Amino acid sequence: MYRYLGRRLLHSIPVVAAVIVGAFVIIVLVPGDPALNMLGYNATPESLAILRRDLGLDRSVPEQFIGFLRGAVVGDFGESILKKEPVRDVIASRAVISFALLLYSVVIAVLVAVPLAILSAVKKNRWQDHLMRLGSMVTFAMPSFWLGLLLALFFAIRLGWLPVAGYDKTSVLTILRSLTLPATTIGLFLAPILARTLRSSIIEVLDQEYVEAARARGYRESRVIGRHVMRNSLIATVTVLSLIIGFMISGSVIIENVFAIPGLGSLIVDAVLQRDYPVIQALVLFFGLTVIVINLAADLTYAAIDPRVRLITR
Amino acid sequence: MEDLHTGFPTLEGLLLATNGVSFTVERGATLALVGESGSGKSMTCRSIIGLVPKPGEVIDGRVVFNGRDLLGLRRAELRKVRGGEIGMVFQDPTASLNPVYKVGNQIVEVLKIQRGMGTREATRRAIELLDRVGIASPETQFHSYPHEMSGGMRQRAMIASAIAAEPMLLIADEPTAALDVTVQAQIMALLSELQQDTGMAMILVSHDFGVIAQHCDHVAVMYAGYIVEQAPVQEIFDHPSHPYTQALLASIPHLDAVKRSEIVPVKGQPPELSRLPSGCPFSPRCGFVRDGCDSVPMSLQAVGADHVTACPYVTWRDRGAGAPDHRDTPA
Repeated sequence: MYRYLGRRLLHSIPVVAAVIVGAFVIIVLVPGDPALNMLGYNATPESLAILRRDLGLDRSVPEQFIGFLRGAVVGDFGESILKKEPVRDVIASRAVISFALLLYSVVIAVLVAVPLAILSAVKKNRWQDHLMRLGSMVTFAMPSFWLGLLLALFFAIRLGWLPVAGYDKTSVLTILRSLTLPATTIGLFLAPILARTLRSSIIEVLDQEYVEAARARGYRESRVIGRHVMRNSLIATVTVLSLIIGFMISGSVIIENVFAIPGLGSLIVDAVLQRDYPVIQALVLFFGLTVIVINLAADLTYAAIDPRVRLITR
Repeated sequence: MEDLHTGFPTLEGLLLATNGVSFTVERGATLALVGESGSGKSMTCRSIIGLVPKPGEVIDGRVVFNGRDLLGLRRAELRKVRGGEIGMVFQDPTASLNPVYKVGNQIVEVLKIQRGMGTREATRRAIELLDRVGIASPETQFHSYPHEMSGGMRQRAMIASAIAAEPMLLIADEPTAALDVTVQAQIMALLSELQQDTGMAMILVSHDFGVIAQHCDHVAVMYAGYIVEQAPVQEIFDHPSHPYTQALLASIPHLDAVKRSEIVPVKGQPPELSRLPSGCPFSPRCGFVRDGCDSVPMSLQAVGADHVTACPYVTWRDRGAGAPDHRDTPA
């Protein structure tokens, strides 16, 4: 197991390096002068010179890279030009919200998808299955901002159960209330993908002889499915889930905007529009590293689910 | 088992995978089910424990086990029988053990569910069982995953899980088909030994007449869902009466077969259940086919003590010297 983990960690080193270089290169590759882009053509030569010095643009490229690398290692990316705060703090406060939202969404997606997938697989090609597949296609085809608006209209405006938008951080309860609608929207978008993947895995596993053997030992069908089928069906779903999570970290922009949630999605939009290069660089690095960590977590999950996976590195 | 009919609805109508199968297995005795692939052996076994794959179902017949008709049991009662009173060993131990659980825990699970044991007691018993089925260092092997064991070891573990709840009947569906020849003999010896110790009855599905001769008391030969001949094992070998049984026996290679030509394969292909000929289903491949074979009823008639056959043209007198030898007969 440790050997497997070690191998996976080694594999991620080149990826981390590539992400760091990628994040750095943004500022070098950007057409024209970044300082001019940020401050506009009315800027005085003095203010341009100051910004160039702050960004380190007056040094040579290798020097800049070493400076960036040093900053990346200790998590110091300078100050956000827009907010005049350390980039690290800006990202950290937003990242907490985004991760909470993402986690909440995934929980909802799993709670919706797993029972549906099981029902659909067990009742394969019966009306329950067709209904599930049709329903998942409809939810999946709906643009998520529209679904979000529908949910807000119904639960927030009509029923008044939840806030329409905004992020109220007075207590855990208000945070949960603020995140419920956006999380449901994202969850309903993710659920069909998970349900479909899981459904086909379950159908495949149901054909295996060990499932028949479990029945022949007199186990309840709930035990056969819950213990013997599910664990063997999870690998493909974990893969899909890890890919989706990696995507959703930066992909929840629209939902965060619809519900005015101050997460990473809205931060990156602001940073790009305002050409806040230090923030953009730090976010690229942050997203890249997060995806790497999630992939590692997925690899570890495979090994935890299926002991045969641990053998692959021998 | 009496008059078992198991059918599958299809576009071409109802297919009968077993068609009036009847037999009896006494306590401590072993019945062999023999026949080509698709002859209904496995369906017969599955019907006993109510595990006919959907959309198939048992249409008619009775499976009386210890005075109860298993087909009439409610689900919860049937679950107690499966794995509890009737154990099942499958053909391929690699496929029939769950790859993600430790072998020992798969046996523990049976003990907990069928015997209501606690974890500690079940673990101790599972190690005893692993030891009993001849797995060396059972304490260590308890923690092995199926993929860490050899095929023979896996089948031993599978047998341990099947006998864990001390069943009165063990159904072994070609338990050695996926194993090496040397291991096959060991597994069969183990099954016989366990049977002698526990007095359980056994239904053994097999292709291997050598195994049958050594380990079985009775033989039922199946063809296209019918039992075509049934007799004590010695009687089957000495006086096979149904042409299909004769053909099967002739297809076994013997060491004393001087020429290859003495090994005679059964001619033709097993029939498709959807296109069974009328009358005797074996008639298109039979060396002795004659007028009337397409209208004979498939009922078993006695041709000797405890010996029944479905071929009406084999009479008591035909046996022995007069028995037709299909090798002389042109196809």
